[in-house]
Amino acid sequence: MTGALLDERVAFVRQVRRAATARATRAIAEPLVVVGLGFWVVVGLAGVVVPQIVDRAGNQMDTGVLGTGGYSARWFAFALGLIMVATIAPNHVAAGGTRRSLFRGSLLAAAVGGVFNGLAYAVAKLAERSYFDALGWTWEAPEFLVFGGRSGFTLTVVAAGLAIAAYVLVGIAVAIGYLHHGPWRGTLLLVPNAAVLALAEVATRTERFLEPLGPELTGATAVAATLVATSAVVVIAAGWLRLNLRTLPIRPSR
Amino acid sequence: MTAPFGARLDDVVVRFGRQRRVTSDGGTYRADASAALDGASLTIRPGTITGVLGRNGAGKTTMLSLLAAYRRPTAGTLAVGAGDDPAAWEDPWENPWVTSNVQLVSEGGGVQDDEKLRETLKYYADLRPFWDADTAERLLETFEISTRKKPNALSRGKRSAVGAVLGLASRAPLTIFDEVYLGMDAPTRYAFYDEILADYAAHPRTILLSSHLVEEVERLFEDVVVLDRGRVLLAESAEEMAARGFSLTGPTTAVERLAGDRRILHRQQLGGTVQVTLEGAPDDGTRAAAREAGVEVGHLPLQDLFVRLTDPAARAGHPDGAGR
Repeated sequence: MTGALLDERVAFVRQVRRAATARATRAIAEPLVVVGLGFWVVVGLAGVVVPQIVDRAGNQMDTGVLGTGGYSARWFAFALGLIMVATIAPNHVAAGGTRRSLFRGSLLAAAVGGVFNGLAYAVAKLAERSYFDALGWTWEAPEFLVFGGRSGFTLTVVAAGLAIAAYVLVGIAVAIGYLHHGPWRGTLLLVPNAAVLALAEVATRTERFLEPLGPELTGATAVAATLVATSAVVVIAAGWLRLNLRTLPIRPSR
Repeated sequence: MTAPFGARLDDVVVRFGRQRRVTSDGGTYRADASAALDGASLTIRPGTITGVLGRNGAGKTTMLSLLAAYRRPTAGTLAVGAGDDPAAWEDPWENPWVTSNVQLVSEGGGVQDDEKLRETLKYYADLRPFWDADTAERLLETFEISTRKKPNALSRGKRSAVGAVLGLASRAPLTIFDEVYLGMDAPTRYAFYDEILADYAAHPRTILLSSHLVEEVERLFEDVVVLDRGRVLLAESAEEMAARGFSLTGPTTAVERLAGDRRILHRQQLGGTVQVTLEGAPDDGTRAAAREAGVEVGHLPLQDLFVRLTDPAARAGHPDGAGR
């Protein structure tokens, strides 16, 4: 192959690889943002209406409804990741995309979904705290992923975003497990998938786990430990997804 | 556009493990491991329309899936690429150079069933480097397919037509149609065949066409591959294949005299007239003698040869055919 032809081919491959990764990213990330926006609007409305009802009844709440909403957001992202990849994976390969570009697209989409939902979570928490203040109530942070201090907002976005990204990746791995191995072994693979999610749950509560070990392990140390732990879970989830995806066969349907 | 792609299989085996299968009455049973391809070897010439024939379960879809990197072989080697030198071709698995240049379509396959068809078309438009949106639009009109419908809401024939649109509009240097006629009515099928020929003439590439409707599609074929029980029974040009046999039709005594010791592949009698299908090509002497005796010499229809070749009774006497 001559140098010019080789250059042409390298450019061609680069272009198709980028196009495939970008398309997979968009296909998975769009619902995570668009449908996710709808989710947070509903959760936000509940966060306003429920305290109003409680306040008018003359009662008071300690924690808002957004704590539950934040936790639900992970499962929402998990489900969207699962549904979208189950829909596009055969289409992606049939259209000439590789499993590698689908994996890269999944990673980028998980990052986008994580940032968006982490941001929404942190904004919702801030708004809820202000709302509680306005009602004259004392707001208590939920037991995970709300950091105080000057950099608390950013840290909350990052930590909640990492947790959601891990859930998205595991959701995608569940879909790939079923596509790859069928209903029986796909269901068996829910066990390791659940194990990764359990790790994510533990990682998001790192701060609480460190508390009994002594005051020197709280504060900045706890924040750093939480971020490292959630990052590690994202890496594990990504590795697990790659393992499942790299040999995925596509069955021509009829 | 990249030059037409060729493909080569060397002793390729694809074995499926034991799997649970569903019977027509809803029960299940465990099927033993079986070889969908069992030492298949052949070369697909670049820039041709090649017919891929075989009975149900012969391994056609499995072989075509390998070329599009839908799956990997259990054993053997596979290479796909541009140019006439097979040594320069590459393994298609996870190879974006190959996968973006190879398009496999089957009836209803490779689409997003739960999304409107336009979403699938957008996906192909983004990924396929040579996607022709005008062709796609024109063919959708020809086949009367609405892009606002979801593929799973389309009839079987329309789903096949969607496959035809994707295959033709992708303009891939290796385009594979795997039984993309199922459910199509006759006018749609003929429109599809005409579109293949017109598009092939305007945009030369390699086309593989798998079909059970041999009589309808044989006019398209330049090369023919016949698979049987996971092996390549033969792979040769349509001309070579046509020379494998001929028919004699006329008075019984004259036909039998002309047939002589030749192997009779098929015989049909109607009153005093008989038609026999004979192995081999007729020589000039036979042609002249036939003319004198009022016997008509005809070509061997591909379908007849295919039926004879894959007939279980005839199979025992046929050597294992490796392709070119």
